[in-house]
Amino acid sequence: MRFALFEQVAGANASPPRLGLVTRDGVVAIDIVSAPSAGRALKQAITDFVALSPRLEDLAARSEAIPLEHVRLLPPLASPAKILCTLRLPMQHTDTDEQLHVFVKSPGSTIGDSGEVVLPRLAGAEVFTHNACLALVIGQRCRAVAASDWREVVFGYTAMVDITARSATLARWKDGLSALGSSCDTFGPLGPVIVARAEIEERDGFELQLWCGGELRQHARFDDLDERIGTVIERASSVMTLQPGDVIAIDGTTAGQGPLQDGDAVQVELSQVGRLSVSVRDPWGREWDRSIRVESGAVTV
Amino acid sequence: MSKHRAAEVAHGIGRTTDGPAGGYPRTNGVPMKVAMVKVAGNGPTTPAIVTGGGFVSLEELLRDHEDAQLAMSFLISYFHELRPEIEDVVQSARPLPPEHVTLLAPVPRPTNMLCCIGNYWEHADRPARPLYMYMKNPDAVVDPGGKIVLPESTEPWMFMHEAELGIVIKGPVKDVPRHDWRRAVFGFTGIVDVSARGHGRRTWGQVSWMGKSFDTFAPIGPWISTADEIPDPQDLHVRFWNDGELRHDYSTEDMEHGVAEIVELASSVMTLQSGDLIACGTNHEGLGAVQDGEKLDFEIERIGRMSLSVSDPLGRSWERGVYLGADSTNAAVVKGGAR
Repeated sequence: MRFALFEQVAGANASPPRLGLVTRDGVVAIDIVSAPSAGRALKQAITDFVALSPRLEDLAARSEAIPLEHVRLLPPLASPAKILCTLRLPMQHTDTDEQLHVFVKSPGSTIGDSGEVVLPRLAGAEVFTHNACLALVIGQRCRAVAASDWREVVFGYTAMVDITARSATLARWKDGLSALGSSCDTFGPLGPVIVARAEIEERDGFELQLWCGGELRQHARFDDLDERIGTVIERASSVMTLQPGDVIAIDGTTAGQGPLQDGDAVQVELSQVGRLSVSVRDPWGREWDRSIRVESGAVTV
Repeated sequence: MSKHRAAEVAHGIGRTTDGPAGGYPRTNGVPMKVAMVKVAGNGPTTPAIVTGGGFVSLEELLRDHEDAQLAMSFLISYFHELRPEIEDVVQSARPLPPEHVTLLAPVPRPTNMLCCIGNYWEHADRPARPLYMYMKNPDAVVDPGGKIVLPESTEPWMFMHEAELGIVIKGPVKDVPRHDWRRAVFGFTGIVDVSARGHGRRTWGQVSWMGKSFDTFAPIGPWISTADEIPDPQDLHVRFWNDGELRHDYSTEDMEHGVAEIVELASSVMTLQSGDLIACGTNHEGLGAVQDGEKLDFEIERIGRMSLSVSDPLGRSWERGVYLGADSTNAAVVKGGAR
């Protein structure tokens, strides 16, 4: 099943956001989950997924779908939910091992397919870079999950671009000390839909690609899911309890992170899940050298 | 109050000047403290006004909200408009005595919880550092009277308390210039930014700051003092005791970047929502370990006092007293008075 949050667009008007299932013919609104908002409905559907599943399948089969050209997809984020992003850093006081970190990204940063990234003016922020991510959607409240048990707590998958403000040296904004530059409004393109884990052919793995202005900038594969996903679930859940609907965005590769600027069209595609397209607008029309890349924190031009 | 008048007050137009120099918006009513309570005997969980005689439930005004955070966010967003009705309720209702309610965190699940890093002078002779913030796990909130449970992770070597002034936001707001900060602030509360340490007093997991996001690492309370209760947020005395021993004992006057600058920076990054919380940072001179079985007390002048307890499933123990390691900023270390 492919879950979406959407609004139906008719001329200049849009319906209130709703939860839906994306089928071959379009989007079927889910009216069997009652909640005060679409984000709450998504949280409910994830929490009760096992019990709701037969009814949802029936609904998808017998309901008339709204054609996709009549809807706008919104970021498929449950409410409330937290967003965590992975970060691999050298261990403090050793120069050998990497330590896997997660940091919190504001849920207000998300935008959906066809959304617009708006570059802000931040004192000391010099460049804004993209990082393509495979995003896990958590299915149940859990903590201290062993890496090998990750499937029990992952509800599904979607794609995310973790956009970050950086200083002139390409360190994270604010001298590399803070991940706050990831939480700017519109810095979390998410979607286009959440695909339930059962729909995914695990042995095919995932392929993750990001294009900016037609140029392929990031390309990664996720083949050993126990390693790529299990270790992240284990780490994140050793720090905090994960809740249904929480999102954990795992970067595919630290390579290829480049600058975004006014007029850029960005696409991220996660195999078996879909393609998310957003545009970039900079009200100040700033320009950067397009060949700038962030490589594991170091800078290459 | 009419909505028009409410909008004027919210934007600081035509405010009276009975506050201190600079003028804080004072509406015609009394200043208020807003708590979150669970009424005993299967009673509702609801925002309530703190009065001398107890707690006045606002359930009648706020009953249609799905959860406590949404009810508080609504109250914050429409506080000016609701104020006449709130004052009526406060005058006519009999307060619930404290023993009939359980106090809960006033913002139980903020959309955004931001925390300042290294934001106090601590007697240092140096230029001001840039203002840094990180985002804390919004699911880590603990109620007044609640328990900090230390994680079973043994990667951090120690866990410390950081008692801080918390700004409760009235949103949505974006790009608030510092001189206009009052427009974005509903009130103030207390937060303990509990922190795991990697070595010395360095936070475990810097850059991501995940060492501050363990479950239960965000006790918040005891309630919110509305902005008009606080004549000057840069003149508040913060104290924190561990098993009766005074640890933090500082004034918010010592902040390197005050509430106005904090609001400006946070709102330059993201749209802040009603019920979001920004912790202003701590004065590290009073840091110390939190460990199994301890009782903590936390008081901020003009806001209130709350107690917390600590449990550690691994029953670890650390040296008691104020942290005096080599990187302590406590005067005893800085002046060479210890070790």
